[in-house]
Amino acid sequence: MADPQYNSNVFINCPFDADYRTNLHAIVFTVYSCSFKPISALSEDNGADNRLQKIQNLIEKSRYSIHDISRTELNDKGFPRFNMPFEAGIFFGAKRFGDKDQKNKNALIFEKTKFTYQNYLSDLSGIDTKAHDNNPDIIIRGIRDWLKTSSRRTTIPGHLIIIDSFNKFQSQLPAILAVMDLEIDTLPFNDLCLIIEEFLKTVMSLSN
Amino acid sequence: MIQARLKTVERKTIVSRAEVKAAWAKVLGIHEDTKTVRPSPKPSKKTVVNKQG
Repeated sequence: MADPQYNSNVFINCPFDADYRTNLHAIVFTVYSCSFKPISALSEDNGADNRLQKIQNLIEKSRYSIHDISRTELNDKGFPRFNMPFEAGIFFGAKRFGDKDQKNKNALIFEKTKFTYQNYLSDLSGIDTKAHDNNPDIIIRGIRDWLKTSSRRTTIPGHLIIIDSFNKFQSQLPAILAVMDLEIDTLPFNDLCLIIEEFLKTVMSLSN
Repeated sequence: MIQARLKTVERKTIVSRAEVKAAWAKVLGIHEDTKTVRPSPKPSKKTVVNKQG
């Protein structure tokens, strides 16, 4: 039986390092703003599950997924990160071989520059990737337009509204972290989600 | 303004929802009773001393 939240869950498969932080914030913020629920491997805190099992479970209960495969640089040990293309592969496998619900899966593939993936992940040929140029505004619009088109929901706000709200959020983030004695470098994914949820609820309550 | 129905979910966090809510109210200058934004207090007028008096 599918997770009751299946049609609202968006699995996020992207880098989680400091260089990508603003982009990650933009992704999570946009997913919430469109009334969907972001989940990632960092959401779970079950030591009994191994990492792969955890990722498979999250992908299984998510109809939607965002994959950023732009991180192709070598790390300080001289190796590339294969996790994101690997997790994208699991998602496509679930869509291909899963049950009726799984076959409804829908993915957004981000890369930094259009068609760069053909140099390192040519099996994706024919997939319409979106280039974000490391620009949060482009990421927000890409996610908003994709969710609007794929879900056909009528409650999704326009991208300019989300961008404006996100910029306000980003400008206030250092202040709220200071109030709560938290540090951006060690902020857990779940706490980031909670901070974004409450920001949007507060802003919405003021507008009603 | 974003009017969508927000998907909130209880997750394992190091801070509570109540703490975050209170922190946003503080940062955004919101008075919880009325859900209005309090304007910054105007600087008080300095007392003018009539030195000629």
